[in-house]
Amino acid sequence: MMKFLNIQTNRRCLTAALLLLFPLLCSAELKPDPMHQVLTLPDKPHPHWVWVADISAASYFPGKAYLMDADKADMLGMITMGYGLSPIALPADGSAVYTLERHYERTSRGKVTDVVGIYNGVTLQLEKEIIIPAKKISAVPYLSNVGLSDDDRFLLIYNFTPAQSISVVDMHKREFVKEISTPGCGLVLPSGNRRFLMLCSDSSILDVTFSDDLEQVTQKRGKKLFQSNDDFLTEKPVRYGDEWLFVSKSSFIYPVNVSSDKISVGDRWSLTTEKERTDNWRIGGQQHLAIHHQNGQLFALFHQGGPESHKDPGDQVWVYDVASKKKTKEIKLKNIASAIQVSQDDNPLLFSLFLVYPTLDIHDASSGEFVRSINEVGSTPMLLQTPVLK
Amino acid sequence: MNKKNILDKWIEGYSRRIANVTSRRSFITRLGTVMVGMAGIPLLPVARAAGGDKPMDADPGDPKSCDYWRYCAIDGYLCSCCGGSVTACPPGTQTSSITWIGTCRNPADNKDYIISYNDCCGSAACARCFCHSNQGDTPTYMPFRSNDINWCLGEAYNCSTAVILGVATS
Repeated sequence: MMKFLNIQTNRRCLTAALLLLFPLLCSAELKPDPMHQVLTLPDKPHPHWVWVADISAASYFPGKAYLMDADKADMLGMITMGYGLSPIALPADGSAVYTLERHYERTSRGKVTDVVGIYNGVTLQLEKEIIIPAKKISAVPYLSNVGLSDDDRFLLIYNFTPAQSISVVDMHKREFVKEISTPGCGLVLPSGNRRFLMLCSDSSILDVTFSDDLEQVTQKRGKKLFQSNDDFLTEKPVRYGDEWLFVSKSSFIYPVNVSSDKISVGDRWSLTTEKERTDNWRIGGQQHLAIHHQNGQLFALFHQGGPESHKDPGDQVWVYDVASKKKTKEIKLKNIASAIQVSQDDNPLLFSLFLVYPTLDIHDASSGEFVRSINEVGSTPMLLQTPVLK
Repeated sequence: MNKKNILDKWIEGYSRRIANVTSRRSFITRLGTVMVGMAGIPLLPVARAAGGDKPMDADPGDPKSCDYWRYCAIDGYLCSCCGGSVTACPPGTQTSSITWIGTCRNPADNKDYIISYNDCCGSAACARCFCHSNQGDTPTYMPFRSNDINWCLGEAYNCSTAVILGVATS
């Protein structure tokens, strides 16, 4: 019996000793971390990435672009862009992010310098600045203020001083090339490798083509698109293949085809039924159209409001089949939104945000189901841009 | 001003809807009327206290409030809340040389007035009393009635005033 007790006692002592030693045996000391690490992005953008551009409206210093991963509900990186905010431009190969920046010599005063920033698409480090005429429009940012030619060679920048012009930057040679004067016309809508459209204050379209060296520039003024300023086209059209789809204040789509030398304007069609118009359903917000190219779907941000509510946020996104011009779905958003965008993959996501709240909402663009929100995305986010995937 | 208050003001600005909606007439007609009648900048037929924002009977409302009738087409921070007034820029800023205009109805005399929204420039945004109304607002490619443009152009934006240019007559 005593022997048994001794064995028991010995076992208990051994167990206690092992328990005391266990943390020391199993928990190795942490090694020093490597210093000065900076992460990089994957080689290619993911379709569920989205750039969120923030105007920092409490001061307008600085404009920022946040890169968010919608699947991981996480932030991947950001770019800081100087005073105000212009959209970024994303070449299709994902190799770079082009920014349009304004800088004052002394923060809010002194000499003004406008530059195109070329940031590496993987490291997000600045590779080069190209100084351009300090004339870029300073305004609430719209995607139509800057654009890349279809072959990604030329960056086209809308200037307003209030004289109107386009600055052309050769992104292959990485140098400013020429300023094209375009009196009476604004915005810049790339429509080919060496072609862009502008909208003029008399509601006509300006069709501009240019040669590689910018020595030859032709401008053709088309007929008026709309007759009354009471139903003007907004500055927020979307490109769908060879067509630009403009939307009017009262939610009519005006398709403009650029597939041939002469632009053609198709019949306008309404996003709303007579009943919906009677119920005051209108398009609104700062970025109110989005296209899913492969599915041929148009997404439009809607709200109910009066005739002057064209910038009001929306609480629904209506989805249309562009070919049949029919509404196929109504998506009730989790939160009201002033900007929408859609990813370009087989399982598209609908991104939305309201510039007052720094929250990015994500819905399934097919089912309309709410997926998740990502909080703390800047302070006053305004624009949503997805990678170009080719 | 803390972030919460700024956001509150933005929300407030968005929620404003001016009740005295004017009839829509030709902008050119109105602008022409104003330019012809602008031998001097017309003032409301009532004296205003020097440098004061206190509303008079003929000019009712609070210039620190987005509801004030002159703000029917404004988009920005109200200079009345930023050390300036409804007609003057705050100390330390400069006035923009060109502006955008709106047409607002004065509830006191039920007349439409052409309002010049002169931006004040050369400083970071004031970030007080944000106000966003879009009556008669046009897209940026129709610039002179567009409130989306920073009319400080090459300079930084601080706040916006609302100066009466004259009565709009058809």
